[in-house]
Amino acid sequence: MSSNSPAAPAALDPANEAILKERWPHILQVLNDITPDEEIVLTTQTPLPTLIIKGLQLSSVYDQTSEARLQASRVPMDAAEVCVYGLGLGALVRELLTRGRINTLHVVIMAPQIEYWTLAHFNHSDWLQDPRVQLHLARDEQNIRMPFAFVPPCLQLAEDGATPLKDMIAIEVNRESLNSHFSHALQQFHLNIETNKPFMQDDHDVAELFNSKVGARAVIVAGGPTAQAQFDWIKEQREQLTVIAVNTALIPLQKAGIKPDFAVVCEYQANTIDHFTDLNKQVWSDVPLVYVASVHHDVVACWQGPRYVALHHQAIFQNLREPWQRGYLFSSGTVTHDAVDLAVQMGAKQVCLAGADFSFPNNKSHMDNVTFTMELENYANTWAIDGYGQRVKSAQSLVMYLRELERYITLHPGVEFINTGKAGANIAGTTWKDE
Amino acid sequence: MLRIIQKAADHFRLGLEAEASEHLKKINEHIEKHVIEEGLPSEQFLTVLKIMCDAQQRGDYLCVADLLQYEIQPYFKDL
Repeated sequence: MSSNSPAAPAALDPANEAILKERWPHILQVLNDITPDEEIVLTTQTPLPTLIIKGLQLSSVYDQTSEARLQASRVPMDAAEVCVYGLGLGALVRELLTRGRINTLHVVIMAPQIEYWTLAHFNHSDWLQDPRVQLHLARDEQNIRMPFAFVPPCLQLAEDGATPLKDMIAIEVNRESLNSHFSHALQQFHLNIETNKPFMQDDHDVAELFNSKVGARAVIVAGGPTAQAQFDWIKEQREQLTVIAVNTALIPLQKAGIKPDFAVVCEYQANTIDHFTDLNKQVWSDVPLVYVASVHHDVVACWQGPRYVALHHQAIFQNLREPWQRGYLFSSGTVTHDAVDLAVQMGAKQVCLAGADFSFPNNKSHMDNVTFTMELENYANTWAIDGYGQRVKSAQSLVMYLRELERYITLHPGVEFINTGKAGANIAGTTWKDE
Repeated sequence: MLRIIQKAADHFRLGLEAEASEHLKKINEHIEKHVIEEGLPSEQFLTVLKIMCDAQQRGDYLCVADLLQYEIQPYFKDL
């Protein structure tokens, strides 16, 4: 895997080109319009040849058939219509075509400027001419096709136009591991709810806040790096705004001299308390805390202001017996969702997002003065598109939260959602504050 | 350990990087322990580790999978 040479610029393999011309001329046109300028290496001194594009191997160099068989194992054996994302060297497509039950195999090109090279250096004509195969461009695909298999590096190398699809695939792939993480956390959820019950008995129900701010302009202060740039504006507009802050933003807000109208917390971990210990309790004693029943009880106990308890839509909350039922807030795992839904259910007509970056603008995970930050090298495993149309480093979990928020926004057409930090991820369905 | 190495390689090939990285942490701990108990491994093995570390850093997970399955696993199998 070490001694290889840069691949010389190459035309498409004639056999591939002939079939593309006949079956998918519009895709051939896209491929022919590409200026091949990627960093490409064709391995020559490995047991099997492969392409290395932007530092990523497109396949194993030892056993491509076994690798393809493993990747194909995602697809149920009885599936008749199947999708493959990314061409790789074609091994995964070939593996699936050996299954007699498959009558339609959609093959999706994730980045023409990447897949050009595999179509230039490798002969794919055997599967390209298979009548069961339908070739597509990811940029034209609105929805994920199920069931599917994929060539992982082709997802990593996806073009910007394929970002929403790439995220949908990654979310689907990671759903299983997220579910497993959730079930691991479930025990702690149960424990926290039990220990919170004495508080829940006396605290307000979040539903008491619903429809209490009809027509309001709300600003959600999340913990992302771009939040801080909005602090002066929040101070100027303070009287006209309902300020809802997530727990990570509390200390930075205190340092900026801004007291929110509501604080929100949903995290179940014990170290969540760290976001609260340095708060000036006297100053904050009239700020209501909206907490989810599963937060760590130390967090609830430390709050001296009014408290409102909320539930999430997961089964663990829905299964609570009647005396413990409270109002529900939408969340797929980030407290930013809770804060947004609180604003919407309170009746806000406009929800402005500050620091809802869902990414790492300027290589930062949070704004200054937060209690703890994330090590980017451990988390930055994907990207989002920022407000300038450029890629910004992100994490799979953040992208999932972003897509869930976008879905939520589409379900609330009566509310105007405004985003503020262009260096953070673009959130579909929002407009920019300064435009 | 051989089973964990295989799992890590498989998870990388399936695009399940988070799970694969968890396995990789255990493998690294095992290698550290091995070095403490047995002394430094061969230069060739150290080179493989270096290449694997670089590959992981640039997100070249199929390269990491290959190294785990076809270089690291046989090394421990032969011990």
